Amino acid sequence: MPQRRWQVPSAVLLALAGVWLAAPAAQASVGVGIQAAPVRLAGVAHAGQSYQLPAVSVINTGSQPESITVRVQRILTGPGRAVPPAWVQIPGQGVRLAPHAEASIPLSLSVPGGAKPGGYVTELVAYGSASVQAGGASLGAAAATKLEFRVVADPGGLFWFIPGWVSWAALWLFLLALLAAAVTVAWKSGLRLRVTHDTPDRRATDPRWSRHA
Amino acid sequence: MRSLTWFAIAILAVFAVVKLGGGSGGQPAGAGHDPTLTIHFNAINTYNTVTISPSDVQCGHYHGGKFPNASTNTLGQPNGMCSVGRDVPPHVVVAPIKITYSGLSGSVFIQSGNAVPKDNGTQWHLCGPNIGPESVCHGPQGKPGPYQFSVKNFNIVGLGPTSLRPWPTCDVNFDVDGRCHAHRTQSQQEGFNIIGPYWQKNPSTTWSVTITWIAMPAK
Repeated sequence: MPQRRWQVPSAVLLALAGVWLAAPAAQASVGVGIQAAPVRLAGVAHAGQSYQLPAVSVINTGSQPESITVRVQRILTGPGRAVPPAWVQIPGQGVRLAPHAEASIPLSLSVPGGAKPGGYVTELVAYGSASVQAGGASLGAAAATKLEFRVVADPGGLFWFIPGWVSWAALWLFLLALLAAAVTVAWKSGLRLRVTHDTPDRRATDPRWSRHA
Repeated sequence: MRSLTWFAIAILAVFAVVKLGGGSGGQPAGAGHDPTLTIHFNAINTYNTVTISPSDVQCGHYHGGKFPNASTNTLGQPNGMCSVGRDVPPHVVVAPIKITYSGLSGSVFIQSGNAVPKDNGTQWHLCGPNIGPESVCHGPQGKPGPYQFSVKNFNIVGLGPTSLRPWPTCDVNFDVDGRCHAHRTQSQQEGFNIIGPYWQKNPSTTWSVTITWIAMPAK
């Protein structure tokens, strides 16, 4: 009889232990997030140039640690040229994130010399390494945001590598030098330009100091 | 020569005046202090996220195959099938995988990989309608052929199983309207069926396939 008295609590304890052991597996989740705002290059890009893009923010929304890998992958159709993945360098690949932790992954853009002008659009897709098992299937999560930039035809021709303000300063200096040269030539040729101030109470033929009463 | 110098100085002075005038054009003359107040504050970085939470991790309800290759606990041949969840009428649809989208309005896409054996032998290739000529299911009645398999997901609303593709496509089972639109916080219960190949010779008995849900930004 005492033996039977212990059977019920033991069974309850065993059931509770079973529930406790099963709970983590049932509640395990995987999740990935990426910034909603698109990654945009400040200004326009020129063929043959490299640029630092704003870093992209990612987050682990799952219940287990995972590594995040960002890929350049055009998924949505629409206007804009596709971005070849080789143009985007992502040095911070495989960043390890604890549950609910976030990170910024740096990005840079290298536009090759022969790039066509126009708007470029792609998705940056953050894939999480973690997965939950479901009947032989590994369930994973990923999240995407847009990467947008514009490549413009180079107006500078051979001197594309010179920053814009240097070109403007050189232009102004050139114009000033041109003006000075013109004035010098005119001066040496004997050309004179006299500026006089004529008052109504003095005739032009009068000496400078004279004044009519 | 003195005149030339004065001329150059005058030109430089004009440039300086023009430059200074342009720089302070917005400032009223004689203003002693700025009457505006600038407030700086920080805003949160908004994320678009997708989180997968399965409450049942078993592929069950095995059926299909023919004696002696029929089974109730493994994929049989030809075209054995198992389900995570259940969508066979008249049974109540059970969809044990919770997909939660959070963030700004966007959409949820889904993709599946190939089935990979544990011994890294020949993979089963994903097949289905509308994937492309190279991924048409070659088995009888449009079922997977040799070394092919298909994955179809479904939801509790009862849209019906939809074949997954090897690249990200709109998860039509995510939204109740049969689209994949996702609002600020939206979730859906989903399940899926796996249909095995017509035949295959790989001795491996353990296979895995990766199914990925992707939070997508608005177009």
